[in-house]
Amino acid sequence: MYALYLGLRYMVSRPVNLLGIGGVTLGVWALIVIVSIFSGYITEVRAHVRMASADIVAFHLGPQTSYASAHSALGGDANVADCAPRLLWPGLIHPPNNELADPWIPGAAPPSGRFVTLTGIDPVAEARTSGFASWLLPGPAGDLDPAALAKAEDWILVSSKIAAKRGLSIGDRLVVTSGGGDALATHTFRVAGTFATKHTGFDNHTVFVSIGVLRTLLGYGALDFVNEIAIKLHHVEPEVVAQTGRRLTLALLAHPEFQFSRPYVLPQGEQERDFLSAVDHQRGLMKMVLFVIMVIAAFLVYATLSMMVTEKTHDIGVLAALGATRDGVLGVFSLCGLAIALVGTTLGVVSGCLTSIYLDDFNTFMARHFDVNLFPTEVYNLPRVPYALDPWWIGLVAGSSLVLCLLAAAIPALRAMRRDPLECLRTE
Amino acid sequence: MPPILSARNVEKGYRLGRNQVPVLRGVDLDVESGEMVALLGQSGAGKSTLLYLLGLLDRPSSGSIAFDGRAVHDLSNIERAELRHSEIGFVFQFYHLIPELTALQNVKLGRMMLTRPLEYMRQRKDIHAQATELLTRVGLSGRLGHRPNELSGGERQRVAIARALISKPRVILADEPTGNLDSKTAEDVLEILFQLNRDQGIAFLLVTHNEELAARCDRVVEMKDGRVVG
Repeated sequence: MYALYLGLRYMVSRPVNLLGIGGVTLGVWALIVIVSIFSGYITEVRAHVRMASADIVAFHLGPQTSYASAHSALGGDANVADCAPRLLWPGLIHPPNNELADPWIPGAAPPSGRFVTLTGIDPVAEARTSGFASWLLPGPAGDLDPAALAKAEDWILVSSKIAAKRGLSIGDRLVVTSGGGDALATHTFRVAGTFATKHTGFDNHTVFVSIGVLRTLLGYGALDFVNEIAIKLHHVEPEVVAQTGRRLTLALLAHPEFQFSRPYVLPQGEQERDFLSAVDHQRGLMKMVLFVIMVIAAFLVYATLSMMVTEKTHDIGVLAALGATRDGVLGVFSLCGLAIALVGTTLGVVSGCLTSIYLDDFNTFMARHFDVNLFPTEVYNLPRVPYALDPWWIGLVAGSSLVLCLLAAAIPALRAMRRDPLECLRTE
Repeated sequence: MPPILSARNVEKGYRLGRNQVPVLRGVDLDVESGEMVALLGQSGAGKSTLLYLLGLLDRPSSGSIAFDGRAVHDLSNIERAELRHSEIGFVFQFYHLIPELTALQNVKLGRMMLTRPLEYMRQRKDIHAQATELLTRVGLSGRLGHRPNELSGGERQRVAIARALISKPRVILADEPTGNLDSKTAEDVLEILFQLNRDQGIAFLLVTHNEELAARCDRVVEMKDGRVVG
């Protein structure tokens, strides 16, 4: 009983212990908040990538792939529900009367355009296979109808970001310069609407046009060339999607038309894997950096307890005289360290969770009242400061904190245990 | 009836560098139950060393120590701690109270040594009442919630006496209990000790330089150069 009683008394009655408690709280808080923001960011980006893609996409089909041939290779799979052709090509968009010189003279001033990925689609098929219909933003005349787009020809859809940056409105004319091989061609489109997928990378670089018009622009005429096919699946469980992807890749490879290309079929998110891996790697590095704070906190616990053992020399002797065992003396100082760790960890977990949950509100408050933007969400194209609290991670942080502090406390506690009670009583 | 404490041919030396410095050289001493014995001698005579050996805080280099007829010098550390807790009380010259605890908590601490938390929680009312009663008996009923730094030297020593009494020891070993007190306060503290001896039959072994105090005890044992000389 005395070990628990005295351990707690020593903890609450010595202000220097606040240093240890503060250190542990800070370490746990930082590990929870920073990692939860990273995790939230990764989760949000994954969700955005998913939102801006079909269930699965056939890539790298080769420059002159017939959609009919590819569709025949893919459509037989039991898990394939629908397909939509896509033709992706780099291009330059710019206002009328600001075209690229033809022939372009090296060193000549480029037009004030923007390089984009021209994405030729069949709006009706695209709406069936991906979230295309949900990406379309309502215009002044109401919702955009993919079927109505399919009937028109010279339409172009730009993302709300591009529209805002370039001051584009619905009905504006926009010139596209692109071409295959050495020849460049231009075509004037009319902005029919805007879209937003929340996936920054996608929105910043994509414009949609009619696949037929893009084929004409590239000189393919009436040929049904595609270089990407969006595929909608019946079953979208991650394992099933992966298996289907492998199956469809093999199906394409077995088709004579693809013997000279290397097509593959993957979930769209896989394209972002490197980026997400980089963020995940940064999260791992951050964990290591923040873990150093925990080590410093444990060192603080060690230092304060070491000081306490030195100051409590007489107490060790008195406890022995009252009948305390060596294990009991060990218990007094270990429990004091454990109490410091428990209080610090609990405060760290609670404050870390609350900070993560209310960080966005705090960020908004700071921006509104003090013009300080701690986390500029617009840079990351996020609606709010993201966070994802993972109970497993919180448990791991709390457990590590307790174990580290206990190990740190064990060293001075063992020193106290080994002290000769008689020497302790005689110490001046 | 065997003596409550007994030392037979006890020797104790300390290593100082390469040399063994003898402190006790074959000491024989008996303290009978209920007896008040004064241990008198100059500084360095070995009084405190003998006291701590008899209090089982240290082990003799040779010889034997018995408590109530039972040899205890070679008991394990845990057995010695248990015996110290249940049968022996200590009072020190410098009180040695725990500064973080109040007078009442310091006394209660004496009952926590061998009690498990749940057991203590069940008995806490009794222990509280007993500690309060002991502090009242030594004249500190109005100082229960004061910490040691809020008490005078005499009051601190009375708290230390109450702490020694709470486990109902059969013998109290006091190392110059009045050595740090003025004469009036020392007289008050001594009166408490003599009263405890008379009323409860607790045996006392008092280490002192004070011959006047020694003369008031049942028996005086004088030490010189590590030996009992009278």
